[in-house]
Amino acid sequence: MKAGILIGGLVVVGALVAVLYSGFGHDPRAIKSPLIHRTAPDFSLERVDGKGTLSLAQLEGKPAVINFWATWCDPCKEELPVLLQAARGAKGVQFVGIVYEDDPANIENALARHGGAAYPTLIDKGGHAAIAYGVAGVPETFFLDRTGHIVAKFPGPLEPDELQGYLAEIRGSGS
Amino acid sequence: MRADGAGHVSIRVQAGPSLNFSDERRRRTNWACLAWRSTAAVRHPDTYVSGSKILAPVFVLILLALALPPRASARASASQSIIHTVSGALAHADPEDQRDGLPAGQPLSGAALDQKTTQVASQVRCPVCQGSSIGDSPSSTAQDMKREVRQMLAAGYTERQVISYFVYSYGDFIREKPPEHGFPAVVWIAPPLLLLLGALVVVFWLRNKSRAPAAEETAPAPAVAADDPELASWLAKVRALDGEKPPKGS
Repeated sequence: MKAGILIGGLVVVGALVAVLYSGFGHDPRAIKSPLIHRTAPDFSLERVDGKGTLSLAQLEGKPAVINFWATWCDPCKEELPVLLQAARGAKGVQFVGIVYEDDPANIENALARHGGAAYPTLIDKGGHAAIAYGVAGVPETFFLDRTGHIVAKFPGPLEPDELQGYLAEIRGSGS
Repeated sequence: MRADGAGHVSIRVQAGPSLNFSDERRRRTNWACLAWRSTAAVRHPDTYVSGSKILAPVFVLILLALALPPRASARASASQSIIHTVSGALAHADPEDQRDGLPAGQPLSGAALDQKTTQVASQVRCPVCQGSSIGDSPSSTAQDMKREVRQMLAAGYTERQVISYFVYSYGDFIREKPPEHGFPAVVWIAPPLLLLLGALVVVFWLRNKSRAPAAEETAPAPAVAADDPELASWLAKVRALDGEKPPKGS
């Protein structure tokens, strides 16, 4: 009887420890997107540079990087030069910035500090696109293959090597 | 909106009932016309008749173009915009929905819309908060999401469609209450099962405990002092004080 209670207790405690251990080193806010492997939600948003609107359908046939960001977000400001530099060097990949809850003047200033826009930057008034993509906080970056399916989502600021890894992935998939 | 395997995206937009402003437009047009005629008659009584014949239709047209169509088109545009935004996702979110992501209910407005928005918003978790719904949170993200709920309900989407839309984008995490099917249903089933299990353990433990003393009472007293002469002498003294006869052989 005593051995049974001991074994039962060890099993329960062991299970709890296993659950808690699996949570170590895991950001509770980093929720896996249910949109992975699904068609990316469509959007049609105004460009910050005043050159009309841009929709997802216009990116058809190209792998794409969609970055949600804002100028009031410090990690976004750290990430911005990484994305701009990658976009200037990347061939065959369309970068798109979607700015969330921000002012066009602030966006222009932020881009100017890094040598100007290297890709279209759109304003998401009301956050419709951010909600459609399940954005819980900026920055968040979505990687789309050439068929318009979401291959990966990265929450937080991207490092250059991480970005290059995702670019290689979307160039190779969906063909 | 639908997307085929080749990534071609097509959009289906349904004009919502918010386009039907014919009665309201007619009423406002009549009021505008009356206001113009009365003013003109007072200021230019001699030229009023001939001038009104020429200018009245122009004036009415200008009023219609400037005042009424923007309001109607703004509402229709908002309705179409939200349908455009959510229909593609909803078409994928609920395969049993035969409406291809288009609104399945009646558009709401006024107090009914306010009430339903509050009710549905309380079921959607704020993704940037700790344990509060978008109805309770003052964060701008929650406010945007609540506005999205309101626009969807105003466009005619049902409560189920609204929740499905958010679940499609954010996953089951976004529900304030976990679903009662699939793996998340464990959170509903496990507590009563564990409670039952705990109750069974307590019942068995109590039953065993009640049996054990009874067995101890009926068992003969062990001759603990039989092998210990020193203890036996003390035991004999205690028993003598208690008026108990010493066991044989001690």
